[in-house]
Amino acid sequence: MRRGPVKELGWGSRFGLIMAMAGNAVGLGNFLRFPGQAAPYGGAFMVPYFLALILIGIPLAWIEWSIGRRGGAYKHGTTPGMFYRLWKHPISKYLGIFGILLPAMVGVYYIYIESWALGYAWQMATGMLRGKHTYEEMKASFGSYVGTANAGLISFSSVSYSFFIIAFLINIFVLGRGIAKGIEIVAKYCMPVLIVLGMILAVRVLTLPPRGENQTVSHGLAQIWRLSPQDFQTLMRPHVWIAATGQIFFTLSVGLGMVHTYASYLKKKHDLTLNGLTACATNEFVEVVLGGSIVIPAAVIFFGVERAREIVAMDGTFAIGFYALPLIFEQIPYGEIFGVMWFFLLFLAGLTSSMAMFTPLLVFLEDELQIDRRVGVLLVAFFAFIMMQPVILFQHHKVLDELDYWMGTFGLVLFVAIETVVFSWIFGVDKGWEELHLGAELKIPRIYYYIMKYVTPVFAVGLVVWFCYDGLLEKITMKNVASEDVPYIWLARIMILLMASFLMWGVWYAWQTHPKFFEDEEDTKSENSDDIKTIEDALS
Amino acid sequence: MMTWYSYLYMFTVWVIITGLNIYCFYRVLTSKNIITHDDEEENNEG
Repeated sequence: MRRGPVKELGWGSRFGLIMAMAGNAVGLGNFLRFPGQAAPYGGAFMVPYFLALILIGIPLAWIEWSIGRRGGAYKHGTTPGMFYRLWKHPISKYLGIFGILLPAMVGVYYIYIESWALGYAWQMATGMLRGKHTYEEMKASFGSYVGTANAGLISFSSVSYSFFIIAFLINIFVLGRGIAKGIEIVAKYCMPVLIVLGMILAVRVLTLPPRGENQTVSHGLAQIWRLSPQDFQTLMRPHVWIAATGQIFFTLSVGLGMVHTYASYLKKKHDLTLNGLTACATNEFVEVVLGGSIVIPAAVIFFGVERAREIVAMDGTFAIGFYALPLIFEQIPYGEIFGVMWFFLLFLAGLTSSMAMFTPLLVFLEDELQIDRRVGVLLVAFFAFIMMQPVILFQHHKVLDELDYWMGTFGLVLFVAIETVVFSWIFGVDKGWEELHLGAELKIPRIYYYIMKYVTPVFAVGLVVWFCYDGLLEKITMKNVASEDVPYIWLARIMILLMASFLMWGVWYAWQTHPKFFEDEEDTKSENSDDIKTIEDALS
Repeated sequence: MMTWYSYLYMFTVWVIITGLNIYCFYRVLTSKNIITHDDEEENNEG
């Protein structure tokens, strides 16, 4: 990727870069996960949520942009090489493997979930969901759609599998087109469309007429924004703080290695601070303003407060998105149009995230293993497709959930802790601060120097400790896993280990076969070699 | 049911987030720092 013409290597425009970074962050979780996390705590949730955003999320985003741009100056587009440039220790490059492993393994199941949204948009458009009048009927319909309702040895549905193939091919096509011609173009058009769709749906939901005494827009919004002393007492419990911080990690897509890779295409004269903040702000608008105004208010208006809470507690907000909202759209004027808009919105949110997920793996193959781009795309597509099959076919045996816990939850928190410690304590905040401000168009308040030095790494490490304390052992030993699911849980773990082993071998091989590329900086001739010198001059 | 101070809370958060977006995009879109500007020059030179 870094060996072709310069224009094809990096971003075509600044707006495109920000849209791609924001699109990477905006995902299904903005509309489905966030309301579910916030609703149990009411307005109190927003206190730890915004504190986590200011103290952890935004600094982390800046740290990842800095690591990425610095790595890119040395021709490293992925975290193994980037970490090595921050910390010349034999282990650092292996720690960087997480930045390829996590997004690739999350992508393995994320594209499948994203394809459900595409399939449901089609079903809404063609009226296939008509005639279902209760939540239970809609839930059963979803089970049939994904193939879990009648699952035997495998869970399979030709309809959902067809839409999975379409979603998969779209992702691979975008990946194959590269950064400027693929990812950037999709993000530049899809993100504005997504925001417009979200605004239309939010206005539609917030103008729905009351359906009963406790079934009003006001009651719906109150689930997320109410201010009651009882809710604020929950701030004394660590769970709400963990939930809010976790949500910030997930929503900003930090700790996954994708921001690093995108930022590696920037040069030292390109701004990080304003671009990073803009991408975070866009994500927050989509999540808090739009995401908080659709799912929960709609569910409360149609089901009432108690039933909506029951659904969230029983099936999560995902259930409201896929089971309840189609039902609701059936009952309002032009509901099918709004239904198509809703699922297309979810699909776009998923696509703008998923197309970033295999980018680090592809870039690793190109940059570190020197594999031709087209061959790299085919390899990524082949192995991703193979890995996706157990997720789809053994979905009823919790393969997807297992991958989600280790890669999308615990792995993410662990990688955040590793990268903040490497950047803030080993590489050093002083050098990091200067790196961040090279070409900066926004001067960051000095207090963030201390936040990055103390608060962010301490909190990130603390969160890992909390995860270890809060059920990690039970998860490892499969304490609450049904005996029939145990072989499939092992299958998911073997998939993770196989991918991790390949990446470890890849890192070892790259360092063995191209040692000069990693050791002798003077030999690193590239369009960025002057930038490296300038950076190092500035740092010294 | 939302009270007046809950609405105030919600709209304050919305205004802050929207304001931050307007500020950031205003700065980005009026900036002379265009990412591809120099790259294109380099391309032409090459």
